[in-house]
Amino acid sequence: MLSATSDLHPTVAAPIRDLVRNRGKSLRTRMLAAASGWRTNPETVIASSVVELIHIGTLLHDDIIDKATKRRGQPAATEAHGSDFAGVAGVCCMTIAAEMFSLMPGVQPDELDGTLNDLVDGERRDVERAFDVNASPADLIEIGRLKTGSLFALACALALRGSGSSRHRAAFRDFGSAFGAAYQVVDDCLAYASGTANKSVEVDAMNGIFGIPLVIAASSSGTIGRQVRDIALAESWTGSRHQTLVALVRESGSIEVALDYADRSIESAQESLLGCDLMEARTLAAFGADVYARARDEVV
Amino acid sequence: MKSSRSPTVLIVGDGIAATYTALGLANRKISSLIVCDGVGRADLPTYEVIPTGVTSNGCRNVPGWGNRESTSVERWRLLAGDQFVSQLDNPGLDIVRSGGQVPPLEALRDVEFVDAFRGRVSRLSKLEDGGYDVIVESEHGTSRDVKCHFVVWATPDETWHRASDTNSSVTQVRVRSRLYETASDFDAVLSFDPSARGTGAASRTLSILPVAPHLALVTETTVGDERPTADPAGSARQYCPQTVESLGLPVGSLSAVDYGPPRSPRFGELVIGPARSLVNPFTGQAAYLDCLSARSAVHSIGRARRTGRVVAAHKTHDALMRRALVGLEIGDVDTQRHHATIFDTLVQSLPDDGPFYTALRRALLVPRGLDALTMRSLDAAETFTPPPNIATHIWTVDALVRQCLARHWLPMMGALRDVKGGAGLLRPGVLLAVSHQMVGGTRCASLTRLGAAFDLATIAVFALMSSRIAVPIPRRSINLHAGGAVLLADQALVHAIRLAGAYGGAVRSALGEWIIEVSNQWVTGTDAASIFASALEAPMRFGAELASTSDRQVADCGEIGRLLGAAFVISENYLANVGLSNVLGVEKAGLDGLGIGIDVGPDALADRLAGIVSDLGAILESSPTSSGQDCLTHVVSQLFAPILTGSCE
Repeated sequence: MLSATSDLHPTVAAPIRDLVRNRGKSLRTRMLAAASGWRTNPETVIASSVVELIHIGTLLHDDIIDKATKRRGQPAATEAHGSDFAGVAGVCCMTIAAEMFSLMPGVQPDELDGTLNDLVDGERRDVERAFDVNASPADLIEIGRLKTGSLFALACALALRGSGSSRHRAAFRDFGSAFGAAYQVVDDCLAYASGTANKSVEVDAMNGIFGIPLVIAASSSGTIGRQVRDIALAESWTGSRHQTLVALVRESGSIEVALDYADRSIESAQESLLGCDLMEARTLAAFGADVYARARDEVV
Repeated sequence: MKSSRSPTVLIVGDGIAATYTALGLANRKISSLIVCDGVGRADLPTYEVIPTGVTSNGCRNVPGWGNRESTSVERWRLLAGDQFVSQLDNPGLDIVRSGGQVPPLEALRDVEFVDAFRGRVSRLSKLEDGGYDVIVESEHGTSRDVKCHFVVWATPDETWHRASDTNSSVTQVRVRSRLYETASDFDAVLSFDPSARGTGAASRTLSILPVAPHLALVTETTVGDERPTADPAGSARQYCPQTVESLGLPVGSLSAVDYGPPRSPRFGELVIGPARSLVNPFTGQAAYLDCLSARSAVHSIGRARRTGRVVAAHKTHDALMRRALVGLEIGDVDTQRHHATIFDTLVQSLPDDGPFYTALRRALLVPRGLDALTMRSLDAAETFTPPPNIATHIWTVDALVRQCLARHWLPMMGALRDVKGGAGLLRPGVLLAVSHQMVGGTRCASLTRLGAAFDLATIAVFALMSSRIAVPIPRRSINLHAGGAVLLADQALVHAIRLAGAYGGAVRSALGEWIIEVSNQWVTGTDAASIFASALEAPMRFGAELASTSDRQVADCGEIGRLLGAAFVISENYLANVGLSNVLGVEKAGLDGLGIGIDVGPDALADRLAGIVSDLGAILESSPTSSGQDCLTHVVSQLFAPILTGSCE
């Protein structure tokens, strides 16, 4: 990935390289490896680079939209390098990824087009629903599928490039898509389950980007639902209000309801691989189940 | 001047919006009092309504609109009745006429409803019964206590007056220009001798230059302070030049005026027209919104009186305005700026309620935003007229761009406006086809998707480079501008990649290299002229390469692209320098904060442009004659020749 950015001016490359070096859980790369049967070769590395570069591009742009100050425990690129450079770096990331993808053998152009379109569509919908406490859980899961699931789906599909039938590739994509949606819900739940004021969740809530537990809590009848709606939509915002909001969401029992949605999505992911007789399908399913179980355990 | 009775409505202002409000109220038998509060349109010597709001025919039909004498009561009534409402030919005014009928203007003269009181509101307070207590002071030092039920503001606030006064106090060289649509050519250069007016030490030169067969560029240069030394405290407005009667051309204070933020209504007052920043009082831009907001005010007041809910009048007004704007169609004469003005007005009125953007709002507003940005509603006053051989290509490229961006989240529209997406001839998507034709290529029709890909990639890159993202939409003090730019860039980039992919991996890679090259240049602080040179070089080369022509011709086309890019930036800055900013939307020298890398003086810019156009001509002459070459010649003549031939001072 670092060599892929060698054509970029150092100022543009810096935000990208920061995120390459300060890697997160590398879930997408690991999922691609799992979907490849844990076999690695130069093509797998290139495919992983494509996925990670797109991911980094979306992170850079997400941080601008969300006005995030931290990313992976470090100052976000907007803080360290400025929004302008972070924005252009994000465009360059996706451009390089598209160039690398174009040179990969055995891939369909529309696989990348569809993924990028879903990512942007999810990004747009996420902002568009700002301050909408009436959004349904199904709406939010769909946004998660677009914003998070689409890149997992691409990772899974790229693992089968040049091999596997179109049916297998479709099944792998479905798995990645549903897994991503489930993982996003669990991630939302984790932010509220910890009980402490999580800065990124607070920034999201302040921006009106409400996670699924909050939306479920707001839709509940009675005092808690009303209080959640009042705080979420209040014109003014303070840290103490957010702490109250977190406490109310926990008290409402909406985290458990949200986890049910996530469970159903992960079941759907596993079901999509049932008809696959590939060894890679088994490693992929096992990896997905393990990652999901760990994340869910963290919540409960 | 005193009235014998208390009015129901106090209207502050005496321009179009105020007049129209008074007229509507009179028809409803509601009494009103007009207060001329400082500078209003009627005070201004300016007479300029060309590119927006009112059509040029309408402009010609309203001689004297804006002359100072209109401030006399009788003159004002005559103007309002005979000249303004009944004679404007803008079909959009059908909207503001009830049922397409001309309002019963006779009522304006027959009903004794108005007591023009030249003065200002010195105190306004809300009474417990819902009415207002207003102290109005006249210019003669008398004051009057007015009790009324409603207050309608139609003039901007005091800070704006001060700003305009400062603007009018000429103490340095100013070059001010304006395009006028005229029936004939002008080549006269007029000079005014300030001593003939015996006022001050100012000298003034007026130049009228031909731009196109139907357009004249009027440039006014003022040096010094024309206020008489005996009256240094006097307002410079009193000493502005008069209309050049012999030419029938309206000429006056032509400097770009920031007409300021909207007046903040207190106590639930109604704010309309220029006071709401809907209309530029100096230029008449979006004058139809004067009428529309006035009509909403009249309806609101009428409803509030019927229901007894006086305090809700301003909310009713807002709701009516919004509803009217969403459905407003200006008619066949609608222009980009009509749409842009309506779009901005709507967006600014939206954030108060509920989620920011709903699917319904998007469905209503996005087409409006796109209309403001693409060829479909290209302003007739613009000089960009596509030659026939390229028009189809442009329309198809625009249609594709519209289709790709049609699901835009609204703030993206602001960002899109910033990067000037669409409309012009000098953009990569168009030049691709131009160079293809120029070297004898015949596959122009198959290049539309690649043209749209280039245009979208340009939008993506420049959206993020732009330092100013329009349309502020704050909530909880959150500014979503940057988010809008990012979303726009992503959406445009994704579609650019997709469309380029249809031509194969190599083309997609080449587009990517181009994006990275332009990005690298921006990051390194390269001047705007060089960035645009690079931005236009690649598509020109591409178009030629896709015609399978010689390397020499490909290189020539690339060089033409470079020269055009540099010439474009220089001409934009030249126009900004000579004051065409409020005609063409150019707001400052440089491109969205990018330096242009050269001396920004008009002479230096014109010299530089002349050199580039000369180089362009040399390359074009050495190329075989083709429709593409004709197109480029057309571009050069339309965009650059007026500057080179005019030598505006």
